[in-house]
Amino acid sequence: MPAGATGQGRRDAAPAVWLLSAAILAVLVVAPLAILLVTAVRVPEGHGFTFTNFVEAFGTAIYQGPVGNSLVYATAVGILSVILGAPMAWLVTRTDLPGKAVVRTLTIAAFVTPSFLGATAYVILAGPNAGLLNVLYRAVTGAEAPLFNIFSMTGLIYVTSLYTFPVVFILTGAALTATPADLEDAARIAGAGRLAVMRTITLPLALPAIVGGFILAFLEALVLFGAPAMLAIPARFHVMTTQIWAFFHYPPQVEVAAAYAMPLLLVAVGLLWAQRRLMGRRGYTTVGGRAAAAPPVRLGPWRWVACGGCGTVLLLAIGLPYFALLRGALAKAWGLGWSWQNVTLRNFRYVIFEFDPTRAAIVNTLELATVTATLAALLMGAIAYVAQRRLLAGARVLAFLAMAPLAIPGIVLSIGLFKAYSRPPLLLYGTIWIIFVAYLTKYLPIAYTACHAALQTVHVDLEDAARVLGANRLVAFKDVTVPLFGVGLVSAWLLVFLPSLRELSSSILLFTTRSRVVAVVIYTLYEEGLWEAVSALGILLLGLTLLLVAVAQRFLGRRFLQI
Amino acid sequence: MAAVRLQALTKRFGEDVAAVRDLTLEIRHGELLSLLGPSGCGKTTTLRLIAGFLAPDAGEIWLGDRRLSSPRETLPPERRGMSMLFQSYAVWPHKTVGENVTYGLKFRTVPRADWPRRLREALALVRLEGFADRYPGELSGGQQQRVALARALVVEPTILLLDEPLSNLDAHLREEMRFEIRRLHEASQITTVYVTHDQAEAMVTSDRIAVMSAGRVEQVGTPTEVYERPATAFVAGFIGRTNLLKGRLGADGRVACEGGLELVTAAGPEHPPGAAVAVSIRPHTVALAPAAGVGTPAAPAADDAWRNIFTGTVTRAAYFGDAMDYQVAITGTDCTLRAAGAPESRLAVGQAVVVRIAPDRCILVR
Amino acid sequence: MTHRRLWGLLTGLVVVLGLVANAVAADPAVMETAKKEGKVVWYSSLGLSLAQKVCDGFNKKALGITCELARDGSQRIFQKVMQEASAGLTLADVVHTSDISHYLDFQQKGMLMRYLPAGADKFTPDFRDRDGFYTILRGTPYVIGYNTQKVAAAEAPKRWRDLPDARWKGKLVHAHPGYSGVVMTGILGLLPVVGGWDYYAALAKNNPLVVQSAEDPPMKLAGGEAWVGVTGEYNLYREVKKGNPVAIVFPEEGLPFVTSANAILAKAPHPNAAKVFTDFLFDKDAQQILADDGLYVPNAAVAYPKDKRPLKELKLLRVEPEEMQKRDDEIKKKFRELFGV
Repeated sequence: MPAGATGQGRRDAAPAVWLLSAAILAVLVVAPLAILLVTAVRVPEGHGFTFTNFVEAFGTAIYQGPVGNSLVYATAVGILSVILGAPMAWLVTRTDLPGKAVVRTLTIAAFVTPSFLGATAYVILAGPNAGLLNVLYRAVTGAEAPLFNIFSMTGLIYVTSLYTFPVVFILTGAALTATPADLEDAARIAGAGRLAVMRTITLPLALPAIVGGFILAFLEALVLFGAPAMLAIPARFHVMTTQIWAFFHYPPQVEVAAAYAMPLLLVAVGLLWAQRRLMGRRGYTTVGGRAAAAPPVRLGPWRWVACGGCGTVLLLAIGLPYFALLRGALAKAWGLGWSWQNVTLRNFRYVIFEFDPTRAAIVNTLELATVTATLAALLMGAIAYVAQRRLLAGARVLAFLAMAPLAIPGIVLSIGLFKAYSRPPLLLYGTIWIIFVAYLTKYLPIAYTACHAALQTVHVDLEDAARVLGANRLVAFKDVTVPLFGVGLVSAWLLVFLPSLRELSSSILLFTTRSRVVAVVIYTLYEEGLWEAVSALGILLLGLTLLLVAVAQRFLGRRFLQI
Repeated sequence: MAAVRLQALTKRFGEDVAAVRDLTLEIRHGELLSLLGPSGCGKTTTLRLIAGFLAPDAGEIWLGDRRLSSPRETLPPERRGMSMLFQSYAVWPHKTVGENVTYGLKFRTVPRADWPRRLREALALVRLEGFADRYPGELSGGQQQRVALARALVVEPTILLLDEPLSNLDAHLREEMRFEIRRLHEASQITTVYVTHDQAEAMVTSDRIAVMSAGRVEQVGTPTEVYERPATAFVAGFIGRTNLLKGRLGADGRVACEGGLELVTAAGPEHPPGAAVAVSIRPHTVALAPAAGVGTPAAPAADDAWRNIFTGTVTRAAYFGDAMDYQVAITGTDCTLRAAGAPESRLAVGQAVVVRIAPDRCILVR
Repeated sequence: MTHRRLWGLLTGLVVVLGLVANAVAADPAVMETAKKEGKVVWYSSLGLSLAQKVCDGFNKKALGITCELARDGSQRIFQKVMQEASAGLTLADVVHTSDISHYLDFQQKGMLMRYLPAGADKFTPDFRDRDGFYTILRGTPYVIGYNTQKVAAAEAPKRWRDLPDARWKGKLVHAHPGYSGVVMTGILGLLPVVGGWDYYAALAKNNPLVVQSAEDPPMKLAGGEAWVGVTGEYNLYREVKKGNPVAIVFPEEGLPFVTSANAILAKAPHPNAAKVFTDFLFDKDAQQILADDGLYVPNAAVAYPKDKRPLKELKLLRVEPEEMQKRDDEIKKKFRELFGV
């Protein structure tokens, strides 16, 4: 008997809730998509429909290069993320690696570090002529050529992977932890040595999660704007996202941009569908089994090699870049080199107190992040509740709509939003509201997933027990569900707040002077070549992010960013 | 000849928790021995010590003339040539039934040409012919368990280990599988160690049962021995139901029980007079008969065979379909005894009865 | 006097008075309304620290009007203003970029307010206004810069044509005409004297580091990330003054002269504040701030630093706004083709 079969009160409000939620979701998700599709086939500055936009977009030689570049870039990032993330996950979850807590913490730090800050740091570290590492290398070896030129496709792939591998790490770690120990014990007693067990049992069972991680890393690189803008353009090549952004330069070719964005959308949809299929087949759940995890694999002398490997990765992702940013932030002038005279707090003072755009941006960012997170958590909390308790028919449609933005790259969404909301009567462009709409839409899926997962832990029996005793649906919801679900809502809030702080790829097309956010200001300062200010602002952003993560982990425990 | 010998095995988890304590046990070649006990008694730990997943803190494990485990050196599971059946079946979801079953063959260096034949035989043995290409996700729990069994048997192991393999099955299937396991054991004659908390399972399947409690073996014996001559109060209480009466042993086998009942028991010379003892009496050995008419003092005929004859009153009567379960208060004492009766007896609560117990059914336990 | 002549005289008088009224911005009525408006939004492509100094200087005057600065590259500013206009928005009051063709575009779309800052009639001839719709705020020649620690003065490039030399492969930094008006002007000015696009094709083969803002090359030079670069002179001058190891070369083929205009938007949200601000920009104090940092300015009353060469000594290459407007697209496209971005 479905939970909604009996009950007054909430039942009466239900159709209204459904309609309201459906309307909001439709506006947020469907409208910009529909407008995007229409824009792609419209005649620019005219009436009627045409395919010339596609011809222009893909027929012009200089626009074809970025398509290939994006594919190479995304694929390589996916592969490198798997190479880094999967073994580390295995080491942390399945072996007696020393310092696991450190590895986990630093990997979370890499997870929340925006890749455009990583790119900034690596320009400081590995610029071909003056990069700190290259200077060191030259001093030691006396070579002419640099060790590593970060302004290259390789450099871009490398930097991006350092911040996307945590996704693979998290997914693989979860799968490995969930694998019942009995499956591996059974293989061992059948005669398989430790390596054979890993090869024939552990790895194949974790494979769907690894492939899922690859797909997510691939998608992330495909739709990234900041790091490519910082590393690819000086290296004199475009990827699709920077090309779309270039289409918006004057005179803007919005219709061509919309057509150009189609493959991104299709690839994203296709890959997510493939990922769903992959994770769903063969029913990888098993019966009963001992709840305890398998005893850790003893690495013996290999533990130091493993430790060194993990340490190197984390040094490259966190240690060196954060140091470089700190140095940039504390330096008086770039050219003055290493010395105590070259240390100052002036850049921080400038960025926080003196530079107008930064101050406004900081306020904007905090406001946006807070409002987006709150609204997303509440809206998705309500929808997840309605969907999970099956209070209404068509709840699955709502859930689908809530997850759909996952397949819409941020920059693509912005094209649709720009077209949708830059004419009266719906004139949101020019205000911060259009950016708010972009953020809200973009982060619906993550809020929904978090709320849905949290709701799983609040079994319907708990509510029913209250109702049997006399509480009506709403009271039961208030007294039982909300306190238990509350933690989940807070989790969802944080999971939206944190990425909102550093969002760039949607904001870059939609901002105007008054509606700048921190990431945009960082990017603008970068374009102006103002390293010290970029570094200082970057350190502030990182500081705030890490502080929030630390607080969240302390109060929400391992439930938050469960690794 | 002992196939597996456990010598003074001790395994500790944490400072003060000893899961297995100075355990010594011999498993004979070709027998099916059960480790029976409540949860937490250390039976699974013992099994995993035998399998090699755990290393002992003290003591040794020998297989024939080979030492497998000692605190300093423990042979890993993959080199022991054993097989194991898990409570969760542990059937690999990403491999077909056939791939599951033949997995171990490559490590036992069985030539590939032989695999199809061995697979067919193993599947036939567990009555799963034709299932080789299916995936475990498509099978029921019972079928998965049989796949696990086939997988364990196909490699012709020296020792077969079973870790509560039936507890995830429903009651009906469990009963069926008990007999199946016994049948397979008799056919294959593989030395088997079977861990369970279900005494009926142990009784049906085993050649011998080792009853365990708190990390130690309380008694090892055949099902008959363990049931009819329990060595300790724990064994008496764990296997089947029993009446346990504490008292003091007097001369020629008389025990003065607490509560005032005096029993004639078959106490042997190993029990010194004056010792504090416990007497175990199985309910089905307590004979009840309606007392003759009201007002007539029940005249106990001096029946030598019984020698323990009392009057009592039925205080509880439960109908089980195939038996009656009575509780009887013995007149003139504080003792109550449980008795089993035929379903036809239908004694009523409050009814006066005559209670008869033979002395050799009063077992003295530690 | 005939009626016609009277009308003619009156009209002429009105025009003159109107012009004069526009020119004398210290008009109390304007100031009053400006104070009520409270702020002026300035979209400026002037180097950030300098723009901030100018803004701060205005705020210090405590006129009750706040200067709100939005600094970005010339092309970005132009894009933003156009993008905002297409949505029916005018968010900026005063616009200042280094691509003179922008102002032709603006004017042709009727987006500019006619206003001459006070004292405009006394500005030096190099800095002309165009019918009062926009006024040149600053000028700087397009020059070569190099890092003195990596490149000895004797080896430094002396002419534009020295830059495609293989010696500078991987050591060259070049900003982007799609971002910077300075670079756009510079390229257009150079094309006739370096032999057209072949020069830039050769330059592209030298693997230059492509950055966005013309402010960036001097910093790359100062940091040693590049050894030679091209940019507006004032950007280099600032680094030299800071003591960074950078030197300037004035190539003998000639120096494109980059003029940066300033204008008020017709639909400015704070028009009166805009007028007051514009007057300030061209007033001696603000102009001196610009000159101190190495710019050439219209206000003749400023004193240039001693180490600055007077404009008339330099071989300047003029760039006409109409030509810029015509070739803007071509330059961006060609650059994209040759340099890949």
